[in-house]
Amino acid sequence: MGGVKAALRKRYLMDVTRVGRHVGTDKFGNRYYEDNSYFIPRNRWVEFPDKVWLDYDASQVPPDWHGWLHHITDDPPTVKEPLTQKWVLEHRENVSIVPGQNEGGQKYIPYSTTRTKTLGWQPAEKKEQN
Amino acid sequence: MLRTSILRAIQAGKCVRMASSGGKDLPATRYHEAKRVEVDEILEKTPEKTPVKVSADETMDISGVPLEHIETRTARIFKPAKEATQTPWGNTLAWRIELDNRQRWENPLMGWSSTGDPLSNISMNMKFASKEDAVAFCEKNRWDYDIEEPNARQIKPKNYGQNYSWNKRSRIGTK
Amino acid sequence: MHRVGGQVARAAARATQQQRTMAAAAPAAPKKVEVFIDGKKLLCDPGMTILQACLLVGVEIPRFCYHDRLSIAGNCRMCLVEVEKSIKPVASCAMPVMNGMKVKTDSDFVKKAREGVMEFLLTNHPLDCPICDQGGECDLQDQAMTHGSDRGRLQSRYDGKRAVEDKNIGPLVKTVMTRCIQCTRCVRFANEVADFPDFGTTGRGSDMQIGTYVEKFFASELSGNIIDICPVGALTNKQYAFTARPWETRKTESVDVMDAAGSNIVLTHRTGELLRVIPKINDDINEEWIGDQSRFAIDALKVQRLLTPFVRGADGQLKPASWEEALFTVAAKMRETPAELKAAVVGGLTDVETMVALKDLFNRFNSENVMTEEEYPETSGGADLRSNYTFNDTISAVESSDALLLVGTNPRFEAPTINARIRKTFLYSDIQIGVIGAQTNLTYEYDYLGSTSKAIDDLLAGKGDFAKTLSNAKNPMIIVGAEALQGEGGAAVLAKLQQLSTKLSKDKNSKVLNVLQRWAGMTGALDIGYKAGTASLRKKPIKFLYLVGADEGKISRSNLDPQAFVVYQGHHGEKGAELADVILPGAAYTEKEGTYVNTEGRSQRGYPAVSPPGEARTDWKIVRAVSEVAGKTLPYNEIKELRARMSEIAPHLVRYRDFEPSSFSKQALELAQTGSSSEKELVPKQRDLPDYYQTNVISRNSQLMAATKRAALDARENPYMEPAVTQAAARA
Repeated sequence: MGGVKAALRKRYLMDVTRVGRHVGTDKFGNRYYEDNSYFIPRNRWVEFPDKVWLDYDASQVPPDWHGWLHHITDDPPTVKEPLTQKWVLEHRENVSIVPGQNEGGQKYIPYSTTRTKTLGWQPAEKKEQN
Repeated sequence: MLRTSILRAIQAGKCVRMASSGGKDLPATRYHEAKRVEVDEILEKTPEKTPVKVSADETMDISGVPLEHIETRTARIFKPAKEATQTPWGNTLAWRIELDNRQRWENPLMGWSSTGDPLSNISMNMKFASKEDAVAFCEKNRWDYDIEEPNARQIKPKNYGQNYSWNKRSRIGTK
Repeated sequence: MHRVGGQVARAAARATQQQRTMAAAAPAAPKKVEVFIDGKKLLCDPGMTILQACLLVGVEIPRFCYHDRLSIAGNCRMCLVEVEKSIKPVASCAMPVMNGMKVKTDSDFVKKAREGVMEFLLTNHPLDCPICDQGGECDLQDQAMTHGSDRGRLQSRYDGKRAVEDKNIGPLVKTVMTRCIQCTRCVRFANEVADFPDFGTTGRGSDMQIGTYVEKFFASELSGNIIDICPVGALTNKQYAFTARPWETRKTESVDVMDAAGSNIVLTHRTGELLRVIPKINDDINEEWIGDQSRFAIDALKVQRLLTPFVRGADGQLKPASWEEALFTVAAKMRETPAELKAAVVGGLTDVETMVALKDLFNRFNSENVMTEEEYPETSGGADLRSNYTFNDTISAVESSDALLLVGTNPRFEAPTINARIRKTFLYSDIQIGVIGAQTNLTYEYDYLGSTSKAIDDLLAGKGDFAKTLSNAKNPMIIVGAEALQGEGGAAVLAKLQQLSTKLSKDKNSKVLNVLQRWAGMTGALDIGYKAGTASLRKKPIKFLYLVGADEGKISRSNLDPQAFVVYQGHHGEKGAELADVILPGAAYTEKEGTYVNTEGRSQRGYPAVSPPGEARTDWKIVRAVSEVAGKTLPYNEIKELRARMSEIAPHLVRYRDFEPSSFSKQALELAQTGSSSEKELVPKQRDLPDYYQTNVISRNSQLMAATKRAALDARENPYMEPAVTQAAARA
């Protein structure tokens, strides 16, 4: 994709049209860019894959890329393979605010953690006709 | 000339002026030569403050207390009853004010109780030596009030010997 | 305890007693005794103890065994004081004052004596304050802080700590007997106030134990009071166990509605939850006691509550609805039903505010059909004259009475605090008591005069010993239960009692006739002009019935028009709610500000401790909302305005705490119609302890009261605890 359409699309999603050096792509399809002509916090950014469209979320960035993106390290995982352990779980997006994708298929709804103090009366099921 | 003007500037800006003993206008360079000058000698005299007198019934006009906590409240002036669970009477000595109980609700996170009433605790904190003090306080705050006279403590003479009186009706059988 | 025979012997004893009292009363105006307390001069009555004399000048002597309303025991030794010229310290609770006595309550000698006593007490007291329910309101804890030593000499490694096995005395009171310091307050309470003489002490010295020897149910309607009088945590509230500390709770002084005495109570609550009820001292009404129902039935306020409005749907099923829907349904029905086919019935726990609002609402719809669920005679001036339905002579007058006639009532269960006063009078004076009704254990001896109204005729005719006792008495009193006046012939009983009381009332101040109501709201309802009883409702097919807390099942669908529309407003889902087409959830007595007129006619104010649960609202506000939707808005938005309206109807309703005497007892006699001379059974329904626990909609819903009733029933079959447990196991 390119040209005017891509520029408009980028502007719509990121509010800016900017081009940087493509540093790498993770397995989820997130693309990471760097343009050091910007000041330090703004010089690295991520572009989420097309299928995500407006449902992007910071938790879609895996931890190894997160380190590079937030200047915890200057070596992207493509340059320096991050340390991993066999017990490290596969990265998952935090879906607790996404309806229908949570465990149990429900969006997380905060609930009262206190016990019910007063129990209500329930009317008898069958009403005897008089 | 320049030096004097600088000195003036220092005089105006600082509370303590350093004056030298040798050169008239030179600033003092040694501590023991310094002379302490009070603020009032430099600053103009402040006009004396006249206290604004506010009568008791005007206090609430300027206090900023929301209207709902002035006009709608009813206070109950009372002396607490003796705790039935304990012997001493100490808590019955002072007069208290209790305002009408506003709704409390349960905070859904911890189950603690929340209230929108900033005055809900005054009965715990305020004690009055006399009923009149409590009434004056209520009037100042423009609360309606009801006075509850305490039940007087009755001390009826009792005697250890009554345990052994023969006409005691509970004295039956072996007791 | 009650004895019917042996009248001759007792008459003789009475004569000697009277002689003795006359001899004692002969030297009029006893001379005051002069004593010096900490150097302060004081004139006090002879016969007083040093401790009481100290109270007069505001010096509180530390004590455990002495209690204002119990006899003197003198066994805790905490009240030791120094008396000049006495070598040893003196137990001030038992020592009478003598002329010229010089008492020191704060000398080093006294402090040392107190420290010594406290050390002994603490030697035998466990150190479990952190897990003790009395912690924070414990006399021993407080006095150990103020009067105890900073160290003890107990070598628990060698001496060991005393330990006592806990006793099971029923589902209400929890015992941790190791904590007991043997003050014997509970024993004296059981023997003197509650008449449960099985409670006592066994063993001596450090082996002494409090209990019933063989484990027994504490068979008394006042058993909860031993929790309050226990100065340590040996007797605690089972319901309240491990719930809260006193410093974290709020206390609201209020009025009890479980009986018509209107006992003063203190509601303890925290985080919007009612935790317990304790009595508030009021010497005019309940002294320092409350009945077990008042104290323990509050667990029912958390179950079976009406939390949202309900509206009966087209399929005949009650469904939760919004307030708007419920109010509009009620108002529409109210508007379209003709005035004479509308009626309102209030139950016995309703506050005066609600009843006034409801009556005003119905009056605005040109209906006077407002009535109470409890019956009261219409004729004989029954509900028309105030002296005919109130306890005219006041409850405290029982103490100065010398002849008491109980008609068709069992005050022990209808008003336990009044009964405690009768028993106190019985113990400490020469009062003669006669009973017409049931021959049950009333905790005092009485002359049984019969079970029917014929006994009243005999008294009127002057037949029998008790008639003579009554006519010779200086301050005779008649207490008649409201139940005796209900039904066929009730009015005639009232008329006969009016005649009898007129015959007996020699001086004009005393009215002799006292009615003991059964419901907290009844006197108030009659004061503001409610019709007593639902009889008039049965004459016409009512189409719109508004029930407020009417749960006694006096009305059923068969009494009404088949198409009748029933509104129920109340706090518990019970008989009334099942009958209803629309349910409006109201507040219980702990959740609203309300006025209650007790059986004396003393109006008292209850205060809200907690908020009504769920969607429930204060009752008078519901009535006010209905009136607005129905288009006849009642002219009060706030409780102050409603109370102004109440004072228009009857000014005494807002003169709180004052006893309001009634007049017109002369006219009452003129209105009296003895009518039929048929005999009426005067046996009250509540005769035995199990009948006490569940009498109203709150206590019927209380699980604890149900358990206690079961325990009382078991105890009636077999008073000993252990086999009763196996009985319960066999039943389960």
